[in-house]
Amino acid sequence: MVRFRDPRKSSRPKEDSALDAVRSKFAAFLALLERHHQAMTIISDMEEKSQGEYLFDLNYIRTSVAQIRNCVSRLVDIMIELGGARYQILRDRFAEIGARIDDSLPWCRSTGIDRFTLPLAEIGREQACSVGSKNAQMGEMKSKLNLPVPDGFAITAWSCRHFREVNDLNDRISKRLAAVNFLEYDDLVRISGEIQSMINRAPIPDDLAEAIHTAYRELATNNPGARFALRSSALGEDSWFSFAGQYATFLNVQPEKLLECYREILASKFTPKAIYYLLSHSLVEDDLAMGVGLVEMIDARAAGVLYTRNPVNPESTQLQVHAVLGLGKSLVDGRCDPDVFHIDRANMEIVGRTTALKDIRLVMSPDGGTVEESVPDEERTVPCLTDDQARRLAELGVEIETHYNKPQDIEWAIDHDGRIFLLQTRPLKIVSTETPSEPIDVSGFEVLRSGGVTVCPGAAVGYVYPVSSVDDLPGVPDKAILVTRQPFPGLVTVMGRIAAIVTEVGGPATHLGTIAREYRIPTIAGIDEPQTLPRKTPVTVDAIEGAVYAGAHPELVEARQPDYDLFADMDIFRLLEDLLVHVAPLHLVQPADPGFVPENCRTMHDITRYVHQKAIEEMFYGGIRVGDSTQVFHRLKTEVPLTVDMIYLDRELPKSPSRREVKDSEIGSKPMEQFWSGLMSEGWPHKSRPKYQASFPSVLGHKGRESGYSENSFAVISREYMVLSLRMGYHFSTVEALSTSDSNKNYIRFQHKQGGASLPRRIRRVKVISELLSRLGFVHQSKGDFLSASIGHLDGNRMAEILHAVGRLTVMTKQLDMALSTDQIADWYTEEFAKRLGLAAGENPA
Amino acid sequence: MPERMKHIRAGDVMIPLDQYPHIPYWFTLRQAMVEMEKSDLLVEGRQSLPRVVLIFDERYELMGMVRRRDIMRGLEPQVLKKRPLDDRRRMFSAEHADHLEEQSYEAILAGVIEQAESSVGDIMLPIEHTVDFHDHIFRVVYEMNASDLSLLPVIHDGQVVGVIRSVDVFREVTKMFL
Repeated sequence: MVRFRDPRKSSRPKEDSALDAVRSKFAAFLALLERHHQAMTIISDMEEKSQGEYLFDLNYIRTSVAQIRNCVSRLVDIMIELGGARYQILRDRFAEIGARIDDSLPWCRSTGIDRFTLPLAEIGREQACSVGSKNAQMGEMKSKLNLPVPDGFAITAWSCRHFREVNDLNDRISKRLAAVNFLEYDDLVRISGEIQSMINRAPIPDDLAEAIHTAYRELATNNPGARFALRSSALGEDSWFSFAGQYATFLNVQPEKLLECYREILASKFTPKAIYYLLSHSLVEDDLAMGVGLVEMIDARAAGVLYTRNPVNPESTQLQVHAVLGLGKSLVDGRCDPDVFHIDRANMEIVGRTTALKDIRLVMSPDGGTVEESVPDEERTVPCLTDDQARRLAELGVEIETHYNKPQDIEWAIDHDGRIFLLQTRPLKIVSTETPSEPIDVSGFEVLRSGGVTVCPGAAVGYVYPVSSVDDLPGVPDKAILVTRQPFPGLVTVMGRIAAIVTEVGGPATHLGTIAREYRIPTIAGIDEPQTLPRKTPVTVDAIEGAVYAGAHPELVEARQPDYDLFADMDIFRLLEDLLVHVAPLHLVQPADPGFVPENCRTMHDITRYVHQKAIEEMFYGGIRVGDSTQVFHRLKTEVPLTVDMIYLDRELPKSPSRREVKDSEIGSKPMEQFWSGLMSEGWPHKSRPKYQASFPSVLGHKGRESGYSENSFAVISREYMVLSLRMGYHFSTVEALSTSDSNKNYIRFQHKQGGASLPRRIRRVKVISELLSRLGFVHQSKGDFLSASIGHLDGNRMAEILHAVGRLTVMTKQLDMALSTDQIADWYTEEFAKRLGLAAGENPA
Repeated sequence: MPERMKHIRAGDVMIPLDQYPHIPYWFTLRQAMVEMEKSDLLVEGRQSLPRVVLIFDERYELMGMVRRRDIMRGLEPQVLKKRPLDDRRRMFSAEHADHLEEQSYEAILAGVIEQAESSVGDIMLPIEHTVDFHDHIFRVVYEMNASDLSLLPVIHDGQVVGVIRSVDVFREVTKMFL
């Protein structure tokens, strides 16, 4: 670990007020450089993640956004400290960019003070942060689209937070969540029990209880005789993550049980399956405060789900209506097989239908809650819907999809008078797969089962493991083929480690289907008696053809492998891209450009770039624009075409401008001289352009940089210290070094960023430099095209050797990124430069 | 298939600039050779080594190109360049090199190695012929024949956006007949 110290203490001359002013500015300047380094690291890392080669989660995004905001905010503070009030405008720019970032974030701001309840008719989708996604979308359909949505009100996320704060629950819950091993089902059950019991014992605060009762009375008065359902509406639910069926819902709630049920819904955020879902997506429970909705219940004759696209075949022009008799819960829980209507989106013609045999239906109980009842014989084989009803539903689906501009998964119900009600809409999770065109011959395979329905495409090999309840889940082995007659709550807790799912009952329109597609687990439904599949030998599940074969057929798994574009359909990847628009692009490039003003800062990177430039100007020119040479402190006189302005921390500025030039042989800073001698010894690679003058602008060029692609470089130095900000072409390097007689104090720090070539070529250059620095003994870290390396505790001779080598390396790699079209070329350059620097294998380091 | 040819434009066949090997003009012949030997171009599933490397200036503007034969010519040691190039039948030709027999192998080798460190900017071909992104492939064929070049830069909205190679043009043309 290299410990950096304040170089000003090592070479402090006798007191001098002018020098003190310089040193004071320099302290702020150093702090600013440190923050600049951090900001570049964060931005580069986010850009690297967006290239699609690394996995990341929501937690990563949240942390990165928090870090970059914190970092840039501090940069602005230091800039104001360094340059005064004229930089206050940066605070406005920072706030505005921050607000745009907020708009892109799914979890929005922390739940702020709000009303305890809000009527659905007053809610739009923009209030998802306040009332949860489910309530917000119902409000949107009701208030903006005037669609038939039941009456009701939302109990806001603020209410949930108020309940937790009054009862001092937050810390206690967080501590328990931090301790849970979510891969151990028993652990999940234990922690879940502790947290739920904690919540269920906590009283609802009086003010909140009163607000809920008041809203309820008003709703009941407006809807005489109606019954009500209390439904979860968590903040992240149904948007970035489906959370399908993870939280509690109470149907036909009696008024006296309202608060009890409300509290149970809050507690349901901590069932084993919900904790698993939360932690397996690296979410933090604070991100997902719970909203709750109280809505009029529809005494449904039939209910179901409408997919505006085929979730496993998005190219299809058909939408699907899945319908069961009675309440829709029996469908989404996978207890009843639905009737399915396939409807052509273009002309609303019914082009296919499946009518299920109906044994039972779920209905409202007069005493509250719901009960299953047998379906009368005359209704068992009749479709739940008329063709007109199916078509009307399809029309509503297309209208909603058009409004949201993306495929929707809609829950609906039809009452005994034939009136349609929309109960929920959310983005439809689609597995965007390309069914492999390469045919595979399965004629020789022994078919154990066939005729299943694709719930999530793909194929898998494994051993069958039958389950029928949560009690069976702790024993589920990794990579098992899970078989069950019907889906049941809790299955989600093993989703991360199983190979495939086979069920008898259920289908694509169940919560299990939604979640299987999210976890991309090959799943089929409609397989007869899957529990009796052989257990002692492996089987192969073909979730595209809906079959199970005896034995292991890895070639089938290969052929059925959906051609996932890893991130193409991942909301989280889109989220990062959306956020990067406000973070990474650089619009302020050329300081001499009239557009290089704070008003044009559109991203965090712009502010960082602007502040970096202005800090240098403040440091070196007292705020005067670069180019006014009379303001320059010292300028290095050198043969290479670089302009280097220098500030001495231990030398007064000569009064005569003519004496401000310093020959590169008389710099008077040991580390700077050592670095510069390396740079000079390598020789400038190009002194003059070839005779052909014509050149063609290319798409790889950078607009606005033509007149000053290589800007001034700056150094702050003393006898034993240097910090050099070196701009060469399109990249910049910072070299900081302290070289004293005490090797324990000595260090070198090197940073490098950007370039003119495409990002992959720039990253290759960083790899070349990293490898060579590593051979010199540096510890390094790189993120995208940003490199940071350091080395310390070196004696004077070694410091000189390494600084000399770093100087040479700086010239060797100038615009090298342009040439690095492949990894092989990068490897060649690594070895080539290693030889030249005496760092090839078997050689002693420089 | 001929019907399909109606719609093939330079932009359909070109290799985007950022995927094609390129170096700055001050790089050496040796570095240009590395670029040719260690790049791999994958076009329509076929892998090939580039025969031409593009040359840019420090502002990332396209200045020229070097072909294998330019490099071979550039490597020729000074001692063999006594006579003008067009007087000799081929590069490294000994027919008219009166002093060749006086030169040792080592001396010639040293000369070649020295030449390999010279700048590609000194031997490159300047860009004199280009095609437009929307040009029909037959016009590309015409330009290639007229300029005797196997690679042409493709211009779109005043900027170089890629290059088109004769091998890729040829493949498109043969599709008419196969």
